[in-house]
Amino acid sequence: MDPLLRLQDFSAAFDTARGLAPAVDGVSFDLAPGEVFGLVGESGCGKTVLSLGILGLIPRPGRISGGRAFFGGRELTAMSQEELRALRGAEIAMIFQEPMTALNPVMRVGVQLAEPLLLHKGLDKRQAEARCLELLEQVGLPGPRAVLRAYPHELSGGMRQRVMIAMALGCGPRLLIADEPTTALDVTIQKQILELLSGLAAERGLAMLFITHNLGVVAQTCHRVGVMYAGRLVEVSPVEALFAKALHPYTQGLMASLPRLGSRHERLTPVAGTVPPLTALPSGCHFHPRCPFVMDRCRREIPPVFRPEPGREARCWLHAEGGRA
Amino acid sequence: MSACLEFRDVRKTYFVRRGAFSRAVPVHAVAGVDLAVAHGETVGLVGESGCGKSTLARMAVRLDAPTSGQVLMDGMDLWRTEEVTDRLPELVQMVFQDPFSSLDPRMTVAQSVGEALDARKVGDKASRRARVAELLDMVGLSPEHAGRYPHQFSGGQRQRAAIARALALNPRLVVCDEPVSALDVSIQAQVINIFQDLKERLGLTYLFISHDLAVVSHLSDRVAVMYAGRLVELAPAAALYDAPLHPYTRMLLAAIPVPDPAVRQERGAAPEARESAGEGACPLVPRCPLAGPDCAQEPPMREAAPGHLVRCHRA
Repeated sequence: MDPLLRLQDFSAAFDTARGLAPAVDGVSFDLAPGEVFGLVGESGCGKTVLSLGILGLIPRPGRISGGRAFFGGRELTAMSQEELRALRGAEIAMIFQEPMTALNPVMRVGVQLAEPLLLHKGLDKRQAEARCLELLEQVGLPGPRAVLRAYPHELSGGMRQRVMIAMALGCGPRLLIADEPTTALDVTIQKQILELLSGLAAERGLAMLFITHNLGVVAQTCHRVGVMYAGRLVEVSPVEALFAKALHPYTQGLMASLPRLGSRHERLTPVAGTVPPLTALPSGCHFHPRCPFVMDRCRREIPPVFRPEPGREARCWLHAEGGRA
Repeated sequence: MSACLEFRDVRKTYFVRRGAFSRAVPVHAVAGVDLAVAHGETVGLVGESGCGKSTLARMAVRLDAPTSGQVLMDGMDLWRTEEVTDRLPELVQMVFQDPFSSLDPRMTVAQSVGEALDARKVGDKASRRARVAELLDMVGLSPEHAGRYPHQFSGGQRQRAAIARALALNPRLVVCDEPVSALDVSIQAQVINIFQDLKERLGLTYLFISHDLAVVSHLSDRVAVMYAGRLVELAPAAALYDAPLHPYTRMLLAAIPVPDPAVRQERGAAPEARESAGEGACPLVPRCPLAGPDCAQEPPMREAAPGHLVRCHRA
């Protein structure tokens, strides 16, 4: 099957007073219809910039600095702002971490929900209202009529996130970009939202780019996972393989850092050191100053993508034996 | 021996206006909590947002006064004992979630850490400087960090500095409100290890608040689960996670995504509370799968097993 989304050597950078900050550096991956692809990494690793880049929404002074992105065979990186605008909200939708800031506080939910329908789908007001009610029911909101008339502050966090999802689904997108959609929610509400999103992917063939820092969420929600570190995609694996045995030392470090239920009073093994600033990235592999397996080569040469096992990628010299890509 | 910290039927009621012209209605943020933390013990406090855990924490460090009930430290009432007022900073300190807003941006880290020592004129200047260096070393910051400002630090380093400052006067109790929630996983593990090392080294007592049950289970000797301003279960950490009794605790545990794709979690999550339970009823009723007619009368805490308290008719 042709991929729905394809990134080739995709890069984005910010012009800063201290020089060019490469926020996303040579990221390549494919996303198939119906696939949930998790993008994991710590703050500042570039996962949000990457997702904004796909939509052509990187704020100044940032810009796409190299590579190409394709959606359904069309090149996103060659489109005009107008063409992108027609795509956003219609074929590619996005939901954010904090639904309160993503919703307009002085507009009733119904008006906001109907906006893309009137704009992209050319529905009239009555058709839009009927569609809104249908959408609110699909995302499991009880009393959809009352929700339409409500202002965002009258809804709970979980309800607001459901409204965001309803809004994203409005025009029948093929790709949903979800940036930390459950991070601000309590665990029981998080579980409901995750089940809703997984259901949508499975039932409608909706592809999802799921950005999160929570490895538990990844394990329970995603099919494949990409791990980002300091702007680079350092590992791509099917989720089972990743959790069974991570290939990249950074991924291994993340797994070992996790306190687990039932791991009482044992010492955790954190990744030593801290994430480098984007304006002062280490040479070679960005992870080398924190890596327990660092070799001479890691300090000098940027590791290419190695494929040590079928369907798995790691940008790490430890896997050089596995044959170069 | 009296407990390091004790809450006795502590209540905190706020009056909230739902609209500009409506009358203020009482909100019971903390609705009768009894909890004793022994010297050297770590008690974890978990619950979802709005359950009252932060209000309870603030009352433990005298940032908020209880509406009724008592908060005792070493048997002394925090609000009624004169001598406590003076000694409070030596008895209890707090570490907050966001180290950026809890450190003064205009003070170097050494100044922040040493502020309490300077204010109380502990020893002479040289000994205070030595103490600051010792504190920074305890939390894994190097001497060259001393002269830097908070904005020059990463989140993890700032939280280390906040911990060092909390320890300056050798408090016996440290109240931590979501101290690692704002940190990335790899950094979170570093800070959790520091908490554990300090406990072993200094014999600290912690009241450790978090919404992350994995973090709490990792650090705590006992865990208290809070819902709608009450404790609903209190048990040794192992018992709580291996054999939870309260339906709410089970709900929480079942909702945590397991970082292992081989574990297939049961689908279906607890519903959100859409209506409130009636007056006097168990507040979980609208969400509880086990709720029955008798739940219209909220039960008291009872000891279901030695040291394992639960507040439920059905557990």
